[in-house]
Amino acid sequence: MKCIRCGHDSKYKERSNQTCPRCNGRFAFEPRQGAKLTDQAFQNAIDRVSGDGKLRWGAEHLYYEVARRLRPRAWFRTRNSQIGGAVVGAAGLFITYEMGLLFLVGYAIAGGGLAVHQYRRARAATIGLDRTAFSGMLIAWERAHGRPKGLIVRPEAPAQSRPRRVLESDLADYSFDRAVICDRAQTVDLLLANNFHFENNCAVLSVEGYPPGPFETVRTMLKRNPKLQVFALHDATVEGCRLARRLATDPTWFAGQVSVTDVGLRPGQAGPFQGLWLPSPVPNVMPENGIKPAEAAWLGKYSLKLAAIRPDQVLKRLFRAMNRKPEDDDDGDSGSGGGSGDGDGDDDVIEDHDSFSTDASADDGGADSFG
Amino acid sequence: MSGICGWVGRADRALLDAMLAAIEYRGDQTDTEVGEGAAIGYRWWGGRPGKSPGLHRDGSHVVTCAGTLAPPVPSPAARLLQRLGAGSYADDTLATLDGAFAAAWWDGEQERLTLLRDPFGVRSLYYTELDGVFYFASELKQLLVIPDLPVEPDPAALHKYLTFSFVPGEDVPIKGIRRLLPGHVAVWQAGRIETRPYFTLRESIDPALEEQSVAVRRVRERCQQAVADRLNGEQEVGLFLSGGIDSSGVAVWLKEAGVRPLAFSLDFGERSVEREQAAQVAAHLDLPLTFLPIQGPELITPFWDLVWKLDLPFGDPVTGPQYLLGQAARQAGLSAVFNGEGGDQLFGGWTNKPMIAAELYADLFGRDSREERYLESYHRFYGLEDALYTPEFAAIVGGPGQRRALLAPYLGEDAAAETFLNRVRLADVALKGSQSILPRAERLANAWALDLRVPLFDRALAETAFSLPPTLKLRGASEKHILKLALQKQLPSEIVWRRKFGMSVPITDWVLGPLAGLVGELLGPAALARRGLFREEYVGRLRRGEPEPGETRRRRLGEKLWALAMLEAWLRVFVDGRGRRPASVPA
Repeated sequence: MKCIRCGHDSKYKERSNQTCPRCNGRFAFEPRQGAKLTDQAFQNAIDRVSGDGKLRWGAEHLYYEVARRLRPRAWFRTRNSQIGGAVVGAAGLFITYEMGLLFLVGYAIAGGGLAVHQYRRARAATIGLDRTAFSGMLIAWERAHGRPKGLIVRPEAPAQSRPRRVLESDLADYSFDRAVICDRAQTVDLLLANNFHFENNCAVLSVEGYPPGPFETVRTMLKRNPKLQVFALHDATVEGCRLARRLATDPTWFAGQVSVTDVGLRPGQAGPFQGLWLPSPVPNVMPENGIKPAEAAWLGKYSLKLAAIRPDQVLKRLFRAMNRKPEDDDDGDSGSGGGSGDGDGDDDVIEDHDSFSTDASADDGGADSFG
Repeated sequence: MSGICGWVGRADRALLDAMLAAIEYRGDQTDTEVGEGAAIGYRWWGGRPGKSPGLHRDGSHVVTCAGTLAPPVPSPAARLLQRLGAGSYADDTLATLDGAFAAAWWDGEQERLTLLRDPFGVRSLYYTELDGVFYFASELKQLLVIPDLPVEPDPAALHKYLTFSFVPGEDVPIKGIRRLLPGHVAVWQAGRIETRPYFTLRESIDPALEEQSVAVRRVRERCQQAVADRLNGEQEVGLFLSGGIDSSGVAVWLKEAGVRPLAFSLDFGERSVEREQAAQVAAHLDLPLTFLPIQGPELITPFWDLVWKLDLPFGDPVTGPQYLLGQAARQAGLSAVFNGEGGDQLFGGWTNKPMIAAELYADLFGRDSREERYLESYHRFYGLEDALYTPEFAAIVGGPGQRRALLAPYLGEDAAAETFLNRVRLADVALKGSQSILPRAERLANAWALDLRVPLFDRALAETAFSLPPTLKLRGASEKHILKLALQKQLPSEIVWRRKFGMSVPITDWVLGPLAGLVGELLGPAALARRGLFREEYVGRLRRGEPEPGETRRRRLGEKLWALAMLEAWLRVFVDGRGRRPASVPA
């Protein structure tokens, strides 16, 4: 196993006490003692989730990245399986030749059963990595290598650790062009820590009042812009899928003022993340308050966190959603195409099915606004 | 148009001719005065109204002035001597001085040289000292003809360029050469120089302007006057019309002053942002409009002339299209053009908004200071130094804090404004406006013998802008609100009230497409190794079109690459070639 500090490749018996024999650096993981990943594999996951150290990210993003790496691949896609398949085929020919057709049938039934089991395992809907186990992995990593670069850690008591800046009195007199309202504070953290608000002149708040310091000031400022664009960004959960409707109808938010664009995630966007779904905490979901019958059926079984999408893609897909031109929504396909009403005759909620359904690149912004 | 130069001390008379020859594109007439202790030269286009018709001589006084005053006078040089007095002057004599000028006044009796630069820095003025002789000039290239002057790049100034995409402050990216700041006066006497401001923009809210109708009327009157003050009696003038509110406003006020300008606008094909709006404004005001289609390849041939005429490194990709726009205006037979620059800086353009957003969330993760956020807002290489700079370059750029120090007078607690919005406006006026937009626009117009008129950078108008309650500039999310109110009856509603889309040059398409060969020659591995400033790994990634992870705006990649290419080109012309006109591509 290679040491990520010095690059030395050591054998198990050379690694006493989980340390590298050349540099004496500690390994976080020892696969020979049951660890699921090597240090190098965990580092690769950190590099991927952090955009090679250039982005801020949350522990939940790394959780999904590690889970992605531990997810069993479909058996027919692995090289070993392909070699194994060839061996099995050859064995089948040998059995037919030596023992007759009946033995071959039995052999085929046993092999087919094994293949189906493998396929089902690879196609498992819900995530296979236990969250507690992942937390243990991250603790082990930090013990060996320190806190990874870019990990978002919210200051526990910012007001006490340093004096809060006195803001100029006029700051609260203005407004924003856009607002992203999230269902969870961790999503707000991701956007703010990566300067999304600064890059896009955009307020970012959680529906439950995060961040508490500027929350009310910013929410009041939003109401000063009658042309405000509001984007709801959320997990594919019951509460998340009701977020846009709540924002559009709650008088403390935007009721009767502006429409709200729901960019996701909704069950219809969860397909590519099969294997990273979570079991639903709510078994019976009613198709109401912005949730359609088909969605209710899915939400009764599963949920999906936005954090399953890598941070760079969250930023790029959200940017794409914010810069869609109105004509992008006029493709006449309310199922898989652009925006549409939510099907309940509610014109204050627009669903953007596209922006969060596929990968986005820096080319997707078009003639982006300076605002 | 026009330019000046000279020295105090003893130098070869032929040098004065060489300094004037270095800017021959600034006029067809020259006048010189060479005395025992000083020399002054002036180059200008004959027959242009509002320009000094030669050096102004009065007893022991010799005054030269490049540029024009606002309102115009027949001889700015004579007027300056009159304003400054024959031997001494007080600050109030400069209290209302306005225009686009750079002037020098030699008092032979006192053996004193006074240099003066216009309030906002349309015109430039550089100086240096060598072997006891004090030299000054309108352009850097004029100083580089001084024999034996060491021409060595200043790493600290390059470091600042890489943050702003222009060199701010008094620095010039050649060691030993300084620049007089806009709105400043410098006095050289007995071997010492003293500089001080004669104009400082500061916030002073006028309670009378809390009344919106009064404020609208005041702003409209000031704008009309600012435009009228920059009409020198030309038969015909041009207007660079973007389709935004600022240049459209200048079109309105020109029409109200009885002038029907020829309008010119850029056409980037499908990448155009405001093409339809420019056409709509021209049709609404009955202006003849010429669109200039630019797809990128048009910039290859004039590239080295562009670099040379700009004089300093400017990394904004708008310079190439503006150069071609000037060419079109000149080919139409014009000698003066107006533009709408200044509206964003004075009245609160979009750049306030990200700063406000950053400020509101500033304490959450305890990250950057206000100054750092402002530096980031230029979107060049602030914070990317480790990735871009070679260790050798990083070691010589100077200590920390030098860029933040530039911002302290505007964004800090002792700023000349109490409100956040006006603090950011002051920084934008002083840096982006006075040290990038104005000087580069003047040089690009001048490249085609055009006199540039920037009416929104008018002293009285600027003072009015900083006496407005800031909510009249940014009302909710409506930028430049007061300008919109002042123009809503003169322009179509959809022009006035539409959401702002800035003029975005499709530079990424160009540097990865038609200009890739030029960029590759300037920033390829061999060129980078020869210059030794930048890491090939980082620049190579940009050249391959690989954006930073999480970068959402495609244009940023091209902006970065273009800024690096322009710097390398500038170093070749002005350091390697000592500012001589490039005959062909310098390698």
